Amino acid sequence: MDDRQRRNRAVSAARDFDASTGEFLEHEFDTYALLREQLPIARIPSRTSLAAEGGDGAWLVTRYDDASGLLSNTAGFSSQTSNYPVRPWIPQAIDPPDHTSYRRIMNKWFTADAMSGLEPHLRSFAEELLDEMIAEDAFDFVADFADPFPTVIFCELVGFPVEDHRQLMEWKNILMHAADGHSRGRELAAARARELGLEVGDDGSLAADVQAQVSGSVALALYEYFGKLLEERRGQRRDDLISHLIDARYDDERPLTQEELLDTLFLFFMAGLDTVASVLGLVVKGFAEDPAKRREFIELMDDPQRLTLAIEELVRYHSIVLLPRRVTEDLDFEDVCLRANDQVVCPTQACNRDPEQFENPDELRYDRVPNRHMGFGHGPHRCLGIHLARRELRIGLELLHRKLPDYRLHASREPEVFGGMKGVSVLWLEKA
Amino acid sequence: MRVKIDPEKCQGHGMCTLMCPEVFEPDDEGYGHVVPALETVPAELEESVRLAEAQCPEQAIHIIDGGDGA
Repeated sequence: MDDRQRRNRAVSAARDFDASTGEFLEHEFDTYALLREQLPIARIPSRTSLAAEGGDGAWLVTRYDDASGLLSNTAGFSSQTSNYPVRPWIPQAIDPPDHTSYRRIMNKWFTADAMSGLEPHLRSFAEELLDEMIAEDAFDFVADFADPFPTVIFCELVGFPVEDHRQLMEWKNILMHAADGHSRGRELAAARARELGLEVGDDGSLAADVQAQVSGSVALALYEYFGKLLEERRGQRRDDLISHLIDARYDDERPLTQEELLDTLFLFFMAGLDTVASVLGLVVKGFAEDPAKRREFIELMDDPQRLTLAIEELVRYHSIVLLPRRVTEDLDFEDVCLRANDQVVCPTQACNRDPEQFENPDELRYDRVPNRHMGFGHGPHRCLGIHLARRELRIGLELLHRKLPDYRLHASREPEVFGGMKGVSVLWLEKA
Repeated sequence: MRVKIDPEKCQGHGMCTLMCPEVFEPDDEGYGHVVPALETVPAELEESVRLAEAQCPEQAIHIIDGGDGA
């Protein structure tokens, strides 16, 4: 392909950009490489309601250096990006200095030390799930392990009753996976729309306004659910984050308002229920497809430092998030004219495979040094749960492969992947 | 070799404390700090300090006089 053809291909890739389609996922990394080379800040279709507020542009940023500069510049690029079902969630959609005050409250609950204390429990719970899973010759790794493991742990930590975890997962699937290739999310969203008397397409698809109403109704149900839990904990504290939040002091001065408490719990819910499950699913799917890489992982996992580096490399290689920001005022960014309220999106999938930053970026290299990946985000909004996520990934992957070093994709049941916030919703494996 | 963490850049990813827990310790909020007595890095820890510098996603770790043997 000559330069002009590559340029034309890049222009149409940007024009048609939609990370949530199966078609896109098939060529995801080639497309990002083409854009990074030809159009590193590419105009893409705007799908946010920001258009109504004056900004009509959306841009995709695929170079590591551009994204890291932008994500560190919170004055120029706000985290409050679009309409939220109720209010912007805390702290993810809040900018400094308020963001800093919220994070000061929360950081200390999620430190490495605090999460190390959970390790024995993480191990025993992972063992229990894995033993049950591998009692069968064929199993869905996502349903039996990748979903329940981090979800139940997170419910316990925050104080959501563990017996509610399936209900919480269903609400999460409606909010996040109504139209991204996740068949369970799509079914649940369609069912909810029917309950609300809204129109559902013959194929189960929802029009954008119907989907917004469905999301709104689930968000309200969640806020009601959180409100009830807050009331219970006000009556009697427990050792959980809901209780800690009630007793927290903003800037050491005032308690959080009811609205702040609800918006924080909503963010915990959105951020805690999907991410580790997605990475576990992608990693194990990759291992099922590439036994040599799996064996290489099994050989190194007895060495703690090599295992630590390997987990970081797996997070880089299987990056799941697209990080959105809103331009706060007209500015020139790397020779592109951005207008106030334009949306910019940094796909970590693209930035973490920038050859300027990572040598042979498409190669999974367990001892990669340097490895300054942004799989856990970059700048002040760095993933709050990073130390929990690392431990869950390390413990889950280590124990799985001790118990079951050999497995393969099921001969007849296909995996199901979803896009946007990327992940795996169905992953049937069988013992090899 | 001497080592410093730029507090303006550190976002508390915690890679340095994983790579070289002897030299880097987290504060109550998880941000990295150099153990004061080890700002001049003992020779046997230089390699892991370099590793920490190479893995820091925010490039917050600065090695001074970092030339071999300097």
